[in-house]
Amino acid sequence: MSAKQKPEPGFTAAIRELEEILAGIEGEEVDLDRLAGELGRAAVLLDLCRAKIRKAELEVQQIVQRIETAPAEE
Amino acid sequence: MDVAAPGIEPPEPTYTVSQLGAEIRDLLRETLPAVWLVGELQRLVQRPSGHRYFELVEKGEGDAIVGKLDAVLWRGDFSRIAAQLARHGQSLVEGVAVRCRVAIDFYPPHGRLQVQVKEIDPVFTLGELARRRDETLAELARSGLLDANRARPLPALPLRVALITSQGSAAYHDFLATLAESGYGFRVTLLHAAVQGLGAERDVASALAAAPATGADCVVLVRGGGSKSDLAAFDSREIALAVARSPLPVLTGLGHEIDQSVADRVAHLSFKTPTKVGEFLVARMEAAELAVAQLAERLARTARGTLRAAVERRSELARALGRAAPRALARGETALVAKAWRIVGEARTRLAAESARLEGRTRLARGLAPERTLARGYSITRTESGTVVRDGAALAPGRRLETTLARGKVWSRVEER
Repeated sequence: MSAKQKPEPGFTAAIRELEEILAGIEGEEVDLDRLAGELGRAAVLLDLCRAKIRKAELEVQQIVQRIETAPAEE
Repeated sequence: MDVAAPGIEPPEPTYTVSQLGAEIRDLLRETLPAVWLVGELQRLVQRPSGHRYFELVEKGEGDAIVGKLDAVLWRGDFSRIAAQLARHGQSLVEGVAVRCRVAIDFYPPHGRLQVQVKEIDPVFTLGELARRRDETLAELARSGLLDANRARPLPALPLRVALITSQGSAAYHDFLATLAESGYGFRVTLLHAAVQGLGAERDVASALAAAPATGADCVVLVRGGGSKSDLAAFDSREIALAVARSPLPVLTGLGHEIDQSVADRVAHLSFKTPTKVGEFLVARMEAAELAVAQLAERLARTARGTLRAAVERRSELARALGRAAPRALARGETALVAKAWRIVGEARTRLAAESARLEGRTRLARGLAPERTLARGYSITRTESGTVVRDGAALAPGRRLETTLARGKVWSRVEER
């Protein structure tokens, strides 16, 4: 909720926080003073998610390739 | 032919060995021209001449031999009898009781009594096989061994095989060729055993007992095709027990089309031919390989799917936030405008109220105005300085006064008070 320095959240935690931010912004009570702050936090979280996805994508690709080209027998 | 010493009347005939032999032979031929005989066939030997020699044995208590006769089957008779047996899916094989028609013969040069087999009753042999088979099955059922081997788990990758068969036989080659063709890394340990004849029971049983020590995943017991009585060993109690008690699953391929031997019945799985056993093992390897491949594919698909979902969720949130932020601003502005309007509205209301009050006052003030009083006949008297006169005592005689009437003014002077 706050944009204070937190330990970097995991993907799932980041997504949950993004959903909370979205719900807050979409909610009736709009605190315009906090809008920019929340959006800033959201941007950080989105970048974080993207980075995690990129990293996972690369790893998954490599592993999948290993799985798919694994020799049938020794 | 009598041989008598010259000049002496022999009191009794004296035979030479061959003469007596011939006498015995003739006597036997006369009194026992042909009889039916039942006995267990043992020690079968085929001579280069094409004649078959064997023993016909009768066993009593505890398998003790209580009767034994040498038997011969001349080459000419053999081909006729073999053809007849073959029509019943049989052949001459050791260890099986046979009912045969025999001529009793004594052969003087050897002094040997033997029976010449002229006919074999295939129906009796078949019945005898079936009876022994049923006995063995009943015993296995009683001791709960009938399905013991079936319950042994067969590994998904049966790569280490203990092969029990006759080395170099067609069955041996067929089985190995099927495995070799597959390209899988089967490791076969051969446990050589005679798979027919008298030694078969003991050979196969001891090979089965030795199989676990080879570290095999399963035992494969095969032999080539043959006649039904060739299969007798696989109906035997000894082999059936060894299969049933094997800690390894036993797969049989005993090369017969219709009948199932007792060994087949108690085995983990039975196949018609050695090749079919090989094909089964290969198919099992293929199934395992396919399962692994499918698992890998599913894993890859799931991983990609999860990743796609994460990407999707993230961009969804990014888009939603992008839409939500301006909307939030717009909503803020709308709220502000609404407030402004409310303020304006409030102000107007207040203004209207104020002006109404003012008007009321004006009307009242207007009601109190002196002109109205004057009109009613009152007048206002002021001193020269303009002070309204309210008290006569304050006026000295001679003071000039100005009186305002409803219409016009008059001036006067105080005479007394």
